[in-house]
Amino acid sequence: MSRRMTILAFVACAVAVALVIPMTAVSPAFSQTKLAKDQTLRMFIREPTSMDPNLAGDHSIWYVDQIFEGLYKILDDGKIIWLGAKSMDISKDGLTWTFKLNAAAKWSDGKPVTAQDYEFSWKRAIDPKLASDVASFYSAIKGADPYMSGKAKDPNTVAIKAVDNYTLQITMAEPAPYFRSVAGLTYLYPVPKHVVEKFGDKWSEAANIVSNGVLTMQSWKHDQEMVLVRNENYWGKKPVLQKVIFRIAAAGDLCASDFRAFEANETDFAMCVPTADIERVLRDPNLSKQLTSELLSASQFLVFDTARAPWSNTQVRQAFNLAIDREKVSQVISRGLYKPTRVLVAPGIQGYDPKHALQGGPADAQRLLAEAGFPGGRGFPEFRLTAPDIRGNRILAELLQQMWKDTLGITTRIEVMEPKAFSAWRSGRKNQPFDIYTRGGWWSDYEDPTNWYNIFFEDGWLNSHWQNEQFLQLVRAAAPELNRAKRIALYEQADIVLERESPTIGLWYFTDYWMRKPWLKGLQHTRILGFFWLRDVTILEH
Amino acid sequence: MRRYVVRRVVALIPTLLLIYTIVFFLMRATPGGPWDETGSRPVFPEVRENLMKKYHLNDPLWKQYVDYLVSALHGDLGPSYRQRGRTVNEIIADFFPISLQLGLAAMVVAVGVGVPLGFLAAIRQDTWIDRGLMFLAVIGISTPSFVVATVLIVVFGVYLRLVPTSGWSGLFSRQALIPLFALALWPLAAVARYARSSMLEVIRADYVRTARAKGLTELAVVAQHAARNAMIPVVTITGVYLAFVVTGSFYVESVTGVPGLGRYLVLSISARDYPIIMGTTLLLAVIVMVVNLIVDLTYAFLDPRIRYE
Repeated sequence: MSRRMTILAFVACAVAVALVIPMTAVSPAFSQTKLAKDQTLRMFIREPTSMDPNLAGDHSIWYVDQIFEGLYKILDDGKIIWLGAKSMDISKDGLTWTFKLNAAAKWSDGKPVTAQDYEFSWKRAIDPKLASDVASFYSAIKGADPYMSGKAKDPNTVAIKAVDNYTLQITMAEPAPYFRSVAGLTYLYPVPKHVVEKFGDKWSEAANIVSNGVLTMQSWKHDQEMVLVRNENYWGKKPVLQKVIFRIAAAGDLCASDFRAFEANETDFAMCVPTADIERVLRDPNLSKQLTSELLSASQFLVFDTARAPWSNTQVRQAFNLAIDREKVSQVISRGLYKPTRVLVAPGIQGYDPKHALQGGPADAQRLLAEAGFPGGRGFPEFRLTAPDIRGNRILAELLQQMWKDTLGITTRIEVMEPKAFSAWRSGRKNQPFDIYTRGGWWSDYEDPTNWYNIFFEDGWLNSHWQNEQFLQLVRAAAPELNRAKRIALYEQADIVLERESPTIGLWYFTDYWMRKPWLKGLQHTRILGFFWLRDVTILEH
Repeated sequence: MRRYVVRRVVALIPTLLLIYTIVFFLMRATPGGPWDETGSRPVFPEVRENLMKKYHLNDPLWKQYVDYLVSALHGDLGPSYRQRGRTVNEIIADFFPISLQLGLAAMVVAVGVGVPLGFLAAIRQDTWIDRGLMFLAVIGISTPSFVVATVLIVVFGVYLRLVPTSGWSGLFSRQALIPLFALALWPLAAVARYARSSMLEVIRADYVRTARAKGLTELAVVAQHAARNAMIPVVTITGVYLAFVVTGSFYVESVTGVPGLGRYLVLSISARDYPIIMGTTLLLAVIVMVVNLIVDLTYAFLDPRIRYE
């Protein structure tokens, strides 16, 4: 072979390689459009504590949501998707709410879903004998509180009424605009009256259960596996998905099992990445493409006991706030996947505005502390930062200890408690002093400012002992306000006061780390409690 | 013999009562109750009150103590607080057989492999076989079971994809291999070491020398004369491990996703699910005591000098 031929051959080879490599790299191992024959989604879940919508108040709501549906659903864009109801009418005084139900809606056994089912379910949920913790979502309804607490024995005193087969009417104790965000939650999903009355406690077991969602339960082997299949009696568009196999992980270590099964191609979707694996996933060219960090309406924060010195001094709280480097905190805790925040409430909650955050840096923190009478941290009393031993709180406490030491010259004593012991300790702070605590964060139960401002400070659930008259007046006026624009304006003013006064310090917004196989399409996340919306899921050929 | 067994069984009663009393008061003395918070949400005071009423937690302590004892004696261990609609009896019926099967299988492997290896090491004392086996045994004893399980899952599940990464579909499935091995390794190594040292003692005994002097083959000496006596310490240690393994290992069950009782008990403690804690603790206590009794009875078969009156 001549030298020229050699060069030519060489070039030809190089061109061929250059063409082929990107082709193989780009061409995926699965079809981009063609549906797989087997429309089965496989994933890991934690054992539900109950599949009864009237009882499910914890992670179980994620699974209840797959087989049941309520009046409507609100996704992240805030628009209502009508499901069990066709319309909602609120009287001028904001007290009477009338829902026209969807007459086509059926239970999976073919029986119609009626207003009587809703009336039965809602009254059952607040029945003191059932003692369900979802009852709190009904407390706006007239007569609900006395019935719940056993003061009123007659369920007919609760203003929930089936006017006819397809009209449900409720009356509020006082105007409660927030109920719009609540009425579509899983806690208010209907249960089939005829089945619950027949099987009692055991109605939600696989052999008896009847549901009204796009999927229905085929089998449930406790702590091992639950299988859902398409509900052939569903009134609306049926999903492409035929089957969902929930493998039930040994609770306690869901994250590791979930992620490993995903890596081994045993599942199509993982809801979690162990912290120790995040770094590797981010570096891996394939895995990193399958990871998304989905924002949640949930934040992590610190709480001061504002009733006692030195925390009663606003400047001290502000100094502690400004001395924190949130970016660094998020890096250490979540490799930067949690979104740092300088304000308390989450995006989507009316009143939220990142511009309300306290402005300044470490230098301002030092100045504020000096003005408060502790220059360089001198003379600052000994204090404790209390934290539960969950979700990186121990590391968070140590980080804060270091940052306050470096910037403010103050020594923090850390006290980490077992989660249940911490809950008990925290509940006990209603009339007891403390210094600063952090907890496992707060997740919006529904997207309304009452779920933050009013519960935290008006109901005093944070036990921060913060009694700012201006703030309290604003949120008290805002909660029942029927004029939407006026309501938002009130909460915005309240948020400005809150951030300036810093009775709490916002640190980060939680995110869900989701891993999806490339052939899994149409899976939606909701920022409220991180629901996964399976109805539009399709599996591509792979 | 029969009188001895009856006496031992009767002795279970005060022991169980003592355990019941200790656990009952310890649970209630632990800070935090079952319903301080659910997830991250506050439990409404009215709801909490309803729950306390439903599960009789507002009753005076002595009444709760007596009521639960009475229903437990009737075989009813109460409802689970966490898993609404399920009772402790149902939960134990679901989980215990799995832990039991897996534990027994692990002990069969541990004894079946550990004893011959230990004996082999003893007979070949101070050779490379002995040193090699004992080196492996030390590794087996000192590696925690959850490390073994995790490494096996990552290697055989994630990389080689020979076995599923977790789950349970019966003892005779591929899924059972990793938990079985992880659970068996530690007792296996320990049994092997005990078997070796006790065999070393026995083969120097006079009656073994006699057997050799009769001209028996080495195999016959070890198998017929030495093995039986050498088994006594092995049985003791096997009993200890059996009780431990059969009641379920939290770590192995958690890592490998086996729905067993050990994992469930630990979860219930962090959830303050009182009836589950009580029910499982009593069950575990009975198992430990029964296993101990069996061990004691086995001595009589192994050593004719031991008699129970």
